[in-house]
Amino acid sequence: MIDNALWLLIPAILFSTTGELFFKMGMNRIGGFEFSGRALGAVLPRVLRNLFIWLGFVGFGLGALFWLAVLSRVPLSIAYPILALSYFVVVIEARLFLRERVTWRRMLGVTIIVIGVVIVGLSEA
Amino acid sequence: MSIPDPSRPPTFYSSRAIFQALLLLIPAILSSTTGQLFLKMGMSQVGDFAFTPDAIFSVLPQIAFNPLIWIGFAGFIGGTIFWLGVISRAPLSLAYPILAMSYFVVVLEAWLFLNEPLSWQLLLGVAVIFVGVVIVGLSEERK
Repeated sequence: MIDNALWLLIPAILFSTTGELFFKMGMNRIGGFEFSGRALGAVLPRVLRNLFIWLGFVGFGLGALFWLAVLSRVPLSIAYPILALSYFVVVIEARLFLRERVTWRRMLGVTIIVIGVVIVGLSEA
Repeated sequence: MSIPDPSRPPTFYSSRAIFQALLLLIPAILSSTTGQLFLKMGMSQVGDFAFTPDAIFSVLPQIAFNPLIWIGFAGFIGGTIFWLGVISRAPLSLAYPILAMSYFVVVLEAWLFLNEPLSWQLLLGVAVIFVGVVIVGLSEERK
């Protein structure tokens, strides 16, 4: 039962990380903005009219749906440490699809973060 | 002069933009973790519910009219706006792993404000995450 449900983590991770990727693609088009009332008032309508931002929200929504399906079948202390793989997936997707420069030091840092998240997740066991 | 194609990701991020992104990560994380804290406080008032259509249907109005829940969602919206500011200034592969600092902040806030217990294993995990975040934070290559 648990074994089968863990497969649902793959779409959960892929949808939410791809949502993050679409957010970044949207913001690459929109560009940086200041945090003043006037600048926010000007940029938020552009954000809400950007197709990539909406694809991002769709990704988060679908990811959350699969995540809830996982949680209803698998204990959180097992599912959460596996979800930490999202940190690797986002960095790898950013390297592949956004051509970001990913150094070995960055991969080392991400690996340590994933180990930390796994320890946090297992502490609830 | 050629106009850069805005759909292409910038290949070079200035140190200034990255510094701003790291600063904006602070309100981004504080806003969404505090939202999380308020959701938890709201749901403590609402109480737990079974995942059956009937139970969800009867609990939804209680959730929808709870002010703490609304403050929680406002925190998420604020966090998202700050996050968009972050990723418009820095590579995703730099900014996203740093979001893991949220674990540190949530654990701290839950301990301070909700009197939730801390275990040594939890503190160890949070400390390891902190080390990883510092390494990622220093990993942007300067040319």
